[in-house]
Amino acid sequence: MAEEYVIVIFPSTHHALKAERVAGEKGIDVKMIPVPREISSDCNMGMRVSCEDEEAARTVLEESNVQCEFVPWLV
Amino acid sequence: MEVYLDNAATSRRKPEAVYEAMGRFMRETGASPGRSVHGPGIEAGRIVAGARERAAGLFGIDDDSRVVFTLNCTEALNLAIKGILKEGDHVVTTSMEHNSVMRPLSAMTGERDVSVTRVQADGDGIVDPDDMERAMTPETALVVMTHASNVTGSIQPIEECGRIAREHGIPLLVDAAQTAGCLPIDLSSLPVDLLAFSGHKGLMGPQGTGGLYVGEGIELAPLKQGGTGSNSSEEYQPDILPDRYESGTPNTPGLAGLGAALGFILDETVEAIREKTKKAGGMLADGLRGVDCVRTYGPPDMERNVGNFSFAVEGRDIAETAHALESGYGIMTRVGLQCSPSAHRTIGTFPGGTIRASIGHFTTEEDVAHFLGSLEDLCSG
Repeated sequence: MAEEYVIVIFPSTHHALKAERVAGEKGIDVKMIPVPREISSDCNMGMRVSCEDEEAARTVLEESNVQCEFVPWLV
Repeated sequence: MEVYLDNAATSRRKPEAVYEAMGRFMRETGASPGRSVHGPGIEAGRIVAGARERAAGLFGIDDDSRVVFTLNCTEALNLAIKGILKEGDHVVTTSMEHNSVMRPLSAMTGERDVSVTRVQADGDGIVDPDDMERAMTPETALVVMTHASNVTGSIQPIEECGRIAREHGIPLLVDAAQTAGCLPIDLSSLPVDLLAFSGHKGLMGPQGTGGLYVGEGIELAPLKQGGTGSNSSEEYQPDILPDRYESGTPNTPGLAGLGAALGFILDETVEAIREKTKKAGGMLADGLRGVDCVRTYGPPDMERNVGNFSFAVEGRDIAETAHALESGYGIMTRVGLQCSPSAHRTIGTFPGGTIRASIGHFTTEEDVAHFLGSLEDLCSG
């Protein structure tokens, strides 16, 4: 069965890894993945977040000034 | 006994964590950071990101994307100088600069018709901020100065110079090759727009590492273009930092070591490291002045000296003296012009140069005592 996630994409790996760190510090479960080519993006490295954690992730990334974009994704 | 007093060139011994981190990266991680999104690739990226965060933390930099890693401090200075200067610009610098500043400036004089005013330092190798201000003109596009001399250890008044430069709307580039990891540098309060640092001297990381802090609002043309792992659909260099200035696969084993070194320094604190070097340096400076046959140059007090001491032995060739110190007593110093002809002109030791004894975090009082005793012995012999 397809599962819905949110993929967070970034302008560079620096931003992706900063997002991983700050989200991890808040206890949010994230997974760094290659960004699906359909989404494309500037940076190969994306961050997968569950839909339940989306709001928490948005909040912490905004607080930490990490440039990013959230894209809904079915796996 | 072996005594290493060439820390101004590079710190020879490193914290144990540096060797471990580099070995671990080489044996276990080994992948390319920032490009490949598999386990080891992501881990390599984390290692580089961790080093960057720690460098930003050490220097009081809020946005760590503004820390750009380079091959060394020289590359960072080249990026800053060549990236900012345009045709016909004017630069203010000091008479105490290393060739890593003077040579890029000379190149810019030839290639871009840049004019340079070299402000004369005093006999101790320290510039007067008022003289720096008098040299600034409406055409001045950059003030570049060393934080401390690699020849005499002289600590420059970068805070006052930065404040004056800001009043004139001119960015200040500081060459922190001799001071990063040795003196506290807090860019959240210091008026510094660009700071070039070495990773392998006071920061105690491996050779092949360095970096440049690029302040908010400072735009530099990149020194090189290439793959960054970002914006890959475009054939133009991305604008985003740090990628804009970091093309090609970096020195990840080196950055793994630098990250560990920075962790060591953050734990120890620069303040505590400075207290320690002040003690050993004070002992060395006092002792040097107490040896009859020795002539010293530069500030003799550790309030104005980062820990580099230039000297000569009366009536003896400096190269021969330095060789005798190593072959007879196991003491490693640096002899000659130390790549800083302008600084030697300032203190009156050009073209012969001096012997330089430079201390570091791992220099002990026993090392200093052995050095001083050996000099006494040489003089009496």
